[in-house]
Amino acid sequence: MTSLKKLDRDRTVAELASVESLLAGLTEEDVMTRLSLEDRREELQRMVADLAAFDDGTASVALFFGGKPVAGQRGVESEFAGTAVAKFQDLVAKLLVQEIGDLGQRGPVPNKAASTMHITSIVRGSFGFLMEELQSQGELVDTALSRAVIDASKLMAAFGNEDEGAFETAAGEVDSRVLTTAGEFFGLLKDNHATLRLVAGEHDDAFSRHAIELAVERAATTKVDEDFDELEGQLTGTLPDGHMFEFRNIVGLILRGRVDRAISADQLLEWNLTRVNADAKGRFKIRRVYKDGELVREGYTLLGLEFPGVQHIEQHT
Amino acid sequence: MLPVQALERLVRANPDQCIRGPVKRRYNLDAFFVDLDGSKEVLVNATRYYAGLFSHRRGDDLWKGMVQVRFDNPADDVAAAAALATLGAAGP
Repeated sequence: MTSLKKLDRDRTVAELASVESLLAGLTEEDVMTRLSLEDRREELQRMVADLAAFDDGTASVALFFGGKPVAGQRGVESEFAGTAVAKFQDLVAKLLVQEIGDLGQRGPVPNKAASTMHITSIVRGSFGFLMEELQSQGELVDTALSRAVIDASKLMAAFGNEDEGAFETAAGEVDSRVLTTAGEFFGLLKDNHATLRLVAGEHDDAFSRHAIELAVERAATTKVDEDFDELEGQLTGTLPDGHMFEFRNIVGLILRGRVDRAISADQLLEWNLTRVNADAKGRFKIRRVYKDGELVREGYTLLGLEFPGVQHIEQHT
Repeated sequence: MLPVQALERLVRANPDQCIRGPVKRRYNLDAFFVDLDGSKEVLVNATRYYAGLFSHRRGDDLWKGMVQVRFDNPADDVAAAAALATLGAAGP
């Protein structure tokens, strides 16, 4: 569901609740009121169903700004808004590259054009922008850009979440450049005394000044190092749709994490059917999250598996 | 005042004048009917709801409004018919 559709649906569902409440309070004397409101209820129910059915899988996000740069519903400071939108676009571009491959440690972001979103509307309720992926790829499933936008909203929610563990988990799943860009975005909000509400798909997150300060502090104290390693053990299973794996190393420790997108869901399914608990050598990207210099979490991404004497190496670097 | 059952029979016998869906289809008019002789609390609640429904719409900045038309004044009927004709001519 696109962000604007979600906002439409939220408004419609809220009105439906009002009408239901009115209907529940009617007496038998309210004959004409009841007939009118019953008709409106049916109309709203149809609208909710239609909104739920419409989803073309393209990327969409609504950014609402509040605080000092915003003058009610009339406008937002152009320099702040332009920089914030560009920074968010940059975050999505880096997450898209991570979604479909590796983001280098420095230099231009590869294939940045593929991540381009357009500002398609101004949205009210404080002041904000709707950013969308323009061309539908004609797929019934979500596009890669759509997934990258959802990843961006999840990461930002984790940044502002009081739950330290949830933040560390999220930080362990992204490249260090992604983390830096998210930190810069929150830094911009803090420096301008702004607040944010971010709506992407089903995700709807509000960032108060406190949440933004927490995010900036985390960005400053959190570092992510990336490393590559080969480990021996056994594959204990995969989730093909979720693109997740479990791998038992030689000391019996279970490692869990994401599988590189270059490995297909079909390949994961095949491994589930034929290679579970077989001796294997896995190639992993390891992300180590440091908080104030102390290691707090390790995140593993499976890049490839080799089954000695059985199958050629399936690996992607 | 009509008894409730008689009122309901009258309404159902005249859907093009009294029931929202048929009225909308026939007259291009979004009509919500309110029982002035019904529950007073419902009247207040319904007024609150309709004031929200027929005012400013935040999503697209559309301003709406309500008009009052007395049913017992033929001059109002003429003015209302003329206004509807204008809307019909300008509408899609």
